[in-house]
Amino acid sequence: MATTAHILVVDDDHLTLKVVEQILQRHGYQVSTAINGAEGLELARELRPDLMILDMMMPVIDGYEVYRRMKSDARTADIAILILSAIAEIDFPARIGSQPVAGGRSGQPYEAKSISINFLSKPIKAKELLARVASLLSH
Amino acid sequence: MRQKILAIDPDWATTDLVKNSLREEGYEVITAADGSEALKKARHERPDVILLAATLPGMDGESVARHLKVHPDTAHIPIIFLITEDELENMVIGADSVATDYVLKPIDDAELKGTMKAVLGEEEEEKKTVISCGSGELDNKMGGGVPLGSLTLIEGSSGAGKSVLSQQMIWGSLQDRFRLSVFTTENTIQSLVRQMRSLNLEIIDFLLLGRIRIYPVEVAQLGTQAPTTLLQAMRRERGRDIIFLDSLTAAMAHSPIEAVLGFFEQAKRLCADGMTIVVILHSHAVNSELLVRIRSLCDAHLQLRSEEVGKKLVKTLEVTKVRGADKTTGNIISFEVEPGWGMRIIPVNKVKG
Repeated sequence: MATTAHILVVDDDHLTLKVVEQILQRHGYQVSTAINGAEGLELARELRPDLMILDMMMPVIDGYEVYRRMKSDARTADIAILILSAIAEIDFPARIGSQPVAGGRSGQPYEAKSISINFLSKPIKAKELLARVASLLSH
Repeated sequence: MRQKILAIDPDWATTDLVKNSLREEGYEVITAADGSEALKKARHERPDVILLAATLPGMDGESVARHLKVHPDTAHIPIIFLITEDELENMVIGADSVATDYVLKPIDDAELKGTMKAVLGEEEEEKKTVISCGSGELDNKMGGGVPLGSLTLIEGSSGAGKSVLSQQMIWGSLQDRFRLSVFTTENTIQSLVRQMRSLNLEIIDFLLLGRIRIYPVEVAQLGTQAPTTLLQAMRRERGRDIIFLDSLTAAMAHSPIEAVLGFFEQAKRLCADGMTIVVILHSHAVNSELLVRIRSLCDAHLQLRSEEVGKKLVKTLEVTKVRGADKTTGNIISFEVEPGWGMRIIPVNKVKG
């Protein structure tokens, strides 16, 4: 990569935000954080990060809604999203309003309509998240 | 009073640094070098915050933290972990963490002070003392919410919205980071999750994180032993913040009056010990005389009715009693239950019109 990748982390849990931010920064990424869905959407439009790490379980505007709005807004539709959730991924396409073409196991992307869903199930070790981020950004 | 910090690290250079840094800020600092010394001091000294090295000789930091969290005297104390960069990489995201925060080693003075202030400030600000319904409007109408430590009775006839109200309260409590146990005679785990989802109350993450435990109960098989068995099960949940029982109706069907009153008296004792218990009961399950005695035993009483107003069937919630409420009670709220939304308050003029 020519420039440092910019990652936006959206999670309503302070501790998770801190861990993810610190570990990504220590590995050379540029990191921004948002503590709720609304702030996440705003920052995504403004900063146009290379990747958004998105928690599903948030009050008011939850992760599903953030995902839908990201994908339906031309300014943010092409930003890669890595979903972080404790919810079984099989529920996923239905809840973001699309049908899966092929199912995938946890941690593997699968096609839902034309979008590829990158999913990581919690709980997860920080370094595993890091490895996944690295592989997503190298594509 | 000066706030007391217990710092635990086998390396004296670290504890010295912490001591000097935090004393400058006016904190009292005591130290321990290993897990067993830490547990003893934590119980004896009751610090306001614990700084805990993840790596310790003998019992590791994580085990020490778990011990602290299960002991009622120390469970409430926020824990800040002192971790190395390696330990940060191995930290688990999304687990039900015992840590309130962490500070990286080598310790940066400003970061330590900042984290300490944030944790102490947060504690004061975030300590919720009421059960919320997750809706400011509803809480407001209920006199600010039911205070913690209350034995609460939600009572009403079939279809009056008892379960919906209790599910709103379950949701509100989870949002406020309480740990709940739910005993249900009405649902399986799956059907309760699904029912709540239909009200737009998603609890699956909380369930997976262990923040809510759901116990389906078959009371029919318990017969006259039902109230006693339920009480025993509830006692085992000590350490949880709030217990919901939806509902007691079936358990009372075969029980003598003394057993029913005994149940409420014992439940009240559990509340005096720091638990909060919400009991749901069908109004017609008991005779009116017994109902009066049960109501008087409870700290909070919420009565639900389904009433015909004109040609419409309207659900109402009457807050008849909330001991220790912030605001006056005695409010009657009209509401409807809307799929995908939950409880929606209807303005009084709309009900009458």
